[in-house]
Amino acid sequence: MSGRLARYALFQASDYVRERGFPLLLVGALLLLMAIQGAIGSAGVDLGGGELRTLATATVFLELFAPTAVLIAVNGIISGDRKHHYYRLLFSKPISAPRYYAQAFLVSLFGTLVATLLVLVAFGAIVGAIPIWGALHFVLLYFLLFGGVGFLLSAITEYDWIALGVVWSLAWLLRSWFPADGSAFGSVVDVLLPPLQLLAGAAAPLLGGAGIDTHSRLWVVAYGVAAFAAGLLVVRYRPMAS
Amino acid sequence: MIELRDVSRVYRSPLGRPIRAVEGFSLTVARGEVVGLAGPNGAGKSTLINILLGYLNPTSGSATIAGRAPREYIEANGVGYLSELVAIPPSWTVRSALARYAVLAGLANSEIQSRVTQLIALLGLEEHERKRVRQLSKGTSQRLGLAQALLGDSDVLILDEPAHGLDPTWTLRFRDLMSELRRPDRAVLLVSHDLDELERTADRVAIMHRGRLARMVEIDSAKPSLERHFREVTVEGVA
Repeated sequence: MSGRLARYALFQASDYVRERGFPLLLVGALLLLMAIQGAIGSAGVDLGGGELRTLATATVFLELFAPTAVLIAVNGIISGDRKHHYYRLLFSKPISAPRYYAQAFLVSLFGTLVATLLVLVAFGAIVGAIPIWGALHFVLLYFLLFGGVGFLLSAITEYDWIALGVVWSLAWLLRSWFPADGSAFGSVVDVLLPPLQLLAGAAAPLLGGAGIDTHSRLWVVAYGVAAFAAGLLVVRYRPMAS
Repeated sequence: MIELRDVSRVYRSPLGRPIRAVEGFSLTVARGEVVGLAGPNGAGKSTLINILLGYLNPTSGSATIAGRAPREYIEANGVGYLSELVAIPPSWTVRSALARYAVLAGLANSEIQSRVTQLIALLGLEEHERKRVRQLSKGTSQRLGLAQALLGDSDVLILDEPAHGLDPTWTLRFRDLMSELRRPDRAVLLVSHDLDELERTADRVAIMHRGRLARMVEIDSAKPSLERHFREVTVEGVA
């Protein structure tokens, strides 16, 4: 008898809503408030204003929201089950652990996009209308890259959110210390570390409808998918118990 | 059905010193058989169960279920497994936990509610079915753990301290249940510290000591001897 993993996605979705969706909406609301206050502070006037100011506020908001949302969405996605020993009963059932976690990742991705949509609708109502698809596109790219790396780290270590923070910081610091065109080491660093710099300035053009260049988009997606696939291999071959 | 052949498992201490948790352990459990596994704390029982479930790789030797690697068998068929510490997310209710595990065990939608209700009744969980796992006593959690192990009607049951934390009424009920779980096409491995329970339910009991199979005791209900064997092995150090 095979387990009905696809049917179990509904339970994973309800877990997502309770454990990650609500916290994500709360964080979204707080960041929205911060973004609004920042906009008011810089303009010195009320919220009314031009489209440019709205887009600038949305850019600041998205650049804060996307990494936070992904961190909330993937933190402990695998390591939590190891840490609390939930895997012991789960995987005594006729299901594959890599498939289970791949599905959990997809549910998280979908849930994060839905939560983002809700936050963007709130943003549109309070601050001003923004191109929703451009904003979702940015969060999707962020999720694929940062979430893929987070998935891999969660398969490797119990301290995945710390590890993700370290990787994120290293990606920025090492790139600024060792530029890709400055040395051979810089080139290696550039290829090995997540290409977060390609997303750094992507929110504004995506909101403005210009998009980002195909090479950057492909590299971001390929890196994230490769990290996700590596995470699945770790789940497959690394013993659950230690 | 279950076969452990010359299984060893060596851990490394933080300083790199080898710690032999299991050493050259062999055991078979045939269909229709209930085999007990006893041993003092630290004997290597948990490590062995982890290897048998594919949650840990042996350093040497092999573990198979129906001739297949544990994970391969379990992903295709599942096993009924009750862990010593029943780890179920605390926010799940008793009924929802069983419904979730039933989906993972492969039960059809039409079967889930009736099977869950049946197991709730069998394990006396009716008054707890809406409670969250965090609200359950040790004994009730144990009964929930046992209920989820029985969902899939598996040919392989691995029960790790199933009567741990049960009150006297449920300890007695559990003995009846164990005799109901025995069937010709099923292999049962029962891990317990309770020698009396093992003597009542198992056909054979493997006594494990310091990672090794110290003695295999054939149970003869007319001449109880497990406690003597256990004492000889673990207290008096007789091989």
